[in-house]
Amino acid sequence: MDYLILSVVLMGIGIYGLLSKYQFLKTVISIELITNAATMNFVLFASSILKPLGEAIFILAFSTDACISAIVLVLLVSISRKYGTCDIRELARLLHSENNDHETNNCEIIAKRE
Amino acid sequence: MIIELIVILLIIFAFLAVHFEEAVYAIGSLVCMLLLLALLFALNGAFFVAIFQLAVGVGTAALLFLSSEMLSEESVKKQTIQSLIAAIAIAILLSLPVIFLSVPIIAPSIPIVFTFSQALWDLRIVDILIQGLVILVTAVGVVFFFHEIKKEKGAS
Repeated sequence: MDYLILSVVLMGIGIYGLLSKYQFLKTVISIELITNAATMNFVLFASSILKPLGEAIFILAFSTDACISAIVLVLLVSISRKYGTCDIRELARLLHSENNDHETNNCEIIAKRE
Repeated sequence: MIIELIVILLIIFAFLAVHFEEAVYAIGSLVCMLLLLALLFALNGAFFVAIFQLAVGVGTAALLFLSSEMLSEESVKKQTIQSLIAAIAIAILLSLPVIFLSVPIIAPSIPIVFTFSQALWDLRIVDILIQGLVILVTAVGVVFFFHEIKKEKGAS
């Protein structure tokens, strides 16, 4: 059994989730899977050659990862409250239309000034 | 044998976490995956990491459950048992290479003798830098959040 292949498989599942799902929460879960797959290598390699440096790096990396996921979730909740959707495609469409509205408003203001 | 079983279950739960449309089930699967990963670490002799993984995993799970309640949409299509079985079958197929294949790894020949506490002490500069980064990112997030609230209040 090989933990490197386990890490690759977990990363593949995470990338599949990132590419195929369009919900915010699925994106966060996929990112969690990818970071777990990446940091797992530190621990399992370190324990296989009996060196605790990898474990120390894992603890540092995992605490950062937890903080980042918390912040990402706060931003997601704020965005979903503002726009009322959790679908990334829908959000992209809304943001695009909002930008277009801003541009037309700016054009109107410039035209009025002239 | 136990480790192989844990690896298979870990891959199944990881795949289900991505596969489930219902947010609560997906997060439940992710939590199970984190628990199994902690168990795997403990079985490989990394007890500190397993405890840390459990502690942080519980916090992440609580956060994700709360946010899933806020973010979940009502119009989630129901998944059939056939799709669930298919997902489990795919996950088992994905776990086969992990169990039967292996990649040769050459361990470094230089003997490095550390204890866990010494490794943490040697990495203290990285720790401080990472903590600084985390505090900076948190501050930016909080500023962004309050800025949005202020803008909404100004608009209304």
